[in-house]
Amino acid sequence: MDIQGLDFSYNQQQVFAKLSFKPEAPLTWIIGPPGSGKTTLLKLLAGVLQPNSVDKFEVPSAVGLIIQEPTLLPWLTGIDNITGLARVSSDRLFNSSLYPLIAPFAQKRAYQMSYGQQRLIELIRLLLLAPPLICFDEPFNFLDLKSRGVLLSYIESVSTRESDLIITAHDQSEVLETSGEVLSVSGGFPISCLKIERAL
Amino acid sequence: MKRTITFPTVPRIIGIILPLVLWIALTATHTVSDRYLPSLPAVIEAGSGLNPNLFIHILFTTTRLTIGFICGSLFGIVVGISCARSTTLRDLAEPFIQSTRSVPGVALVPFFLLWFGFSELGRYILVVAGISFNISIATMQILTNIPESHRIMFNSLGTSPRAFTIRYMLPFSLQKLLPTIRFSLSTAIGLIVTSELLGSQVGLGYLVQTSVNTFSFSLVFLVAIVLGILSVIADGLLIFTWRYIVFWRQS
Repeated sequence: MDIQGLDFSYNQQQVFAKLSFKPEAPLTWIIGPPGSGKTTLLKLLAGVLQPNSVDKFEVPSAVGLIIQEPTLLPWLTGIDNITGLARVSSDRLFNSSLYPLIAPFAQKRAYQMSYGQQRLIELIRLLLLAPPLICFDEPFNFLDLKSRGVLLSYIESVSTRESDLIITAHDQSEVLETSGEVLSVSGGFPISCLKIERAL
Repeated sequence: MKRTITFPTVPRIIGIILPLVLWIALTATHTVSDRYLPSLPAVIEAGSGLNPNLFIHILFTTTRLTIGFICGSLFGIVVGISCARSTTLRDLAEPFIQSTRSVPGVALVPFFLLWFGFSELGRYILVVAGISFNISIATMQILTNIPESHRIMFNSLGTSPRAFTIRYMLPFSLQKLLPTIRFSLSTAIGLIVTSELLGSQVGLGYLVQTSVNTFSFSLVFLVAIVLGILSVIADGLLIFTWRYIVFWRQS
């Protein structure tokens, strides 16, 4: 992935000015305070938003993005939300090391689940689908410590095998025990570079 | 679970009883002439000597209404979803649907008489034509406002068109269609009665037609009351059924 000279404005606010961004690791963390442009950057990578101008924009053709809003369909069960919507087979789901995390409530319909349970299913769905690039926007909010630990170790393994991952977080404390490259956004606009907090 | 009577129930009971009390009072005191407002006993008596009896007429009208309404609703939803899925189909169909839905259903009766005569099929198709286009437009409108979070999800997952239609578009539109469907129900009642005014041998519309010919104003009044009750019951049943169809909205 390689992005050079990206300009983007939103509501007459220039968010990115000639931003260059080239992650060196398969797992990249972007940290920064709320409203600092992290989600906007992920939406640009996923093609949800279009840059005003860009010199070079090389991203994989298939990008999976999970934003902070819940997106499970409330009328489907947890399993149907995974195997019925994504190209993930039942075998892959049931044989995954992540399935035990959702097994107790996977048969319930999404409207009967807590926010944390829905979040877990969303994350596992995209990890099992494994598109070439996965973008998670603050994925561990509302998750318990055990689920967070299992997901983190899975993310670290999948990032070396199947997908590249870019994950946003509020601050450094959230990524201390993880591997991967850590970049930060300062909070002021426009953003023209991401500061390297921890190199690969 | 123990149930208690809440405050909205009291005005509702008053809303049902008050018109009845006013009606009885106005006719008993001869404040209003029988010519304009028949008395309650006269109205009840008007329904007693009918052949076939009143319940047969109600049964026929209700059956026609149910068939026409269900077919019209299903057709409208299918057309709406199909147009939302295909831009080409939408461009082809929308001008016709938009222009046709603005024509009052009653104005379509002469056409249906010419095309289908006095047949039962013609009555059903009149109801289908009268309600389905509004439902189609409402469905299309609902599906043009898919939340951004869902668009992002489907782009990320690469969901197949078939799964997107059945697992998403259908339930997503159903959960927002109830107001349009309720409005269509009252339209359907009006249309089925109108269709029975012409060439029918049984049904509430037929009763209205014959009572006008025989100057039986009490019978017209009776039919109006029956239609009102029928409308309230049908609306209540629709809301009750809809709660089961969109079960996830209960939480």
